[in-house]
Amino acid sequence: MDILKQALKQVKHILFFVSFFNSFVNSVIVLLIFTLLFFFFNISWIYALIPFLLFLTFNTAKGMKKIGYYDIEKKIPDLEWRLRTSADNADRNDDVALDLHHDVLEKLHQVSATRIMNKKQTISKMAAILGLCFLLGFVSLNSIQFDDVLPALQRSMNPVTGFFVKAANLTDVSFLDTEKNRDIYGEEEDIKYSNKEEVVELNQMLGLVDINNYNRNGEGKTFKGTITGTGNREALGSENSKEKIGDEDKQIVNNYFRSINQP
Amino acid sequence: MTTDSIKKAKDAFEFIFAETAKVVVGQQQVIKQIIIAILTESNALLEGYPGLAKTLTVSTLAKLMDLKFSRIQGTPDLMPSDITGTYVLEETKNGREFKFQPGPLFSNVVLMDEINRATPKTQSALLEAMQERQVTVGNHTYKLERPFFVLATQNPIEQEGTYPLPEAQSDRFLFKIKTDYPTFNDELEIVSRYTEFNEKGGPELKPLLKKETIFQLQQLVRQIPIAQDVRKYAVELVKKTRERKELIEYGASPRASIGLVLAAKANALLDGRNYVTKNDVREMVYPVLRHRIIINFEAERNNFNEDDVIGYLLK
Repeated sequence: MDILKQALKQVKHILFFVSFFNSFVNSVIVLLIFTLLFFFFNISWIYALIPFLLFLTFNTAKGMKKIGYYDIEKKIPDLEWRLRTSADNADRNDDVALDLHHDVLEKLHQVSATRIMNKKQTISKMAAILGLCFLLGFVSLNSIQFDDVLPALQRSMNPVTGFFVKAANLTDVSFLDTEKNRDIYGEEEDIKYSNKEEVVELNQMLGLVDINNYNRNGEGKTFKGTITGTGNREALGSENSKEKIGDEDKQIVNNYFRSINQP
Repeated sequence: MTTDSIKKAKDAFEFIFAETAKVVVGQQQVIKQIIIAILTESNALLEGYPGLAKTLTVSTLAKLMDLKFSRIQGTPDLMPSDITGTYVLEETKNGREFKFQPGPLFSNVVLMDEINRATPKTQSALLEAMQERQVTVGNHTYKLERPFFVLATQNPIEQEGTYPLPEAQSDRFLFKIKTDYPTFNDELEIVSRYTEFNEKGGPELKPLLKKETIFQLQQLVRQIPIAQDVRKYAVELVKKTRERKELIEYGASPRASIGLVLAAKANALLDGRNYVTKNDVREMVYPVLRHRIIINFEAERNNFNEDDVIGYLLK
């Protein structure tokens, strides 16, 4: 029966499409997993196409061998046993076979790709793909690689100062302490402190004030004692830092001290 | 024949079941299997204790199907000519002539009671009729009228002095039908019916099917389409009987595969379907295989019978 054979061909196309779609979705998951792994190890994502293509090929071939009218009969009970019987006897044109073919043709309009697909499985696979894409994006944006992950994992896995023991005490950052002493400045070996103390003091000779002779108006200020030394004051840098001060600047400072010391 | 014919056939059989129930209480599976054997143009072996309405069932079905019925009692002194017929000397106008007198085999439905009591020679005469649908007497071969159906019975007890059917001959029966004791309620019904006075003497049975209808139904059975995987399933089941040596000494032959597929088709027809399912095969596998396999000592030691072994194969 030609109409039946054409209808069965269309049904087979639908089955092939559904099988290929499932294989493709599975292969995309494989691609994303391999891309993620390769990213961790700083390998180009292009190489993830190899397992993707291999998986797609083998899974598609396996799926094509496995598909049968049974998949449709499971979803459409009206066609149970009838569809495969009619398909296997499609060449028969006797009355009994023709009746069966007509029965099947009447019900074949119910067959569609969306009806045959396992919706729950497809939705969960799509969710997995979205999750993997998000993870891949996060990892690539933050340039997280295997070298970064391993030390962090090792620290968090330490049984004494592990994350799960110390996490309750948010102010306590000593869980970060492992073998080395760390403080807010960082690793000791990374920062070299100077042995000299920084001395910050005013030149007392310049700043002495006779309280008894204090003039409110600020006139006739007299300073106790005399300024020893020359009026020349050089701008000196701190002992802790070597600073090059230009001659011009030195002169400016000099002039200023002279002006404030003039009676 | 169309689907309407299949539906009409189903209605007719339901009517037959209902009419048979007027005479035979219970034994629905036995009646169904006998009808399937008739529809597949095969023969059946009926095993059961005495008094379980084996003869009554067959004679009732023969009446309902408008078929000639004859009964042969198997005894050790039964001769082949007693069942096939023989030449007798008759007086005619032209003088004396030998005329062939057909025996009880020349019926549509033949009930051979206690076939295992008949001698092997008589058994083989019957089996020729079953297989070839013909009878050879002397130099002449006589064709038997169709439909032709033999129902042989066996008693599972008192096997002393009997001639058990060899494997090669029991293989020619499509089914080995087991009859069992009726349930309490059924037995109560039997006692009520057959101990009360009935003016009419018993229910009146009118033929429901004609011979031509039975021929058409037999053709229809063979026309029922079957899917490849169902056919493969039937053949695989039979093949397993030859492979599972841990329980089965000798497995079934390809004749069992043919019988199983035909029986499954007939079962589908009785159900009013124009397709066969694996359940049809599973339902028919017990009567088809139980007399074709020989279980080994290991199975007997574990108190397995043929049905237990078949159930094990189905798993």
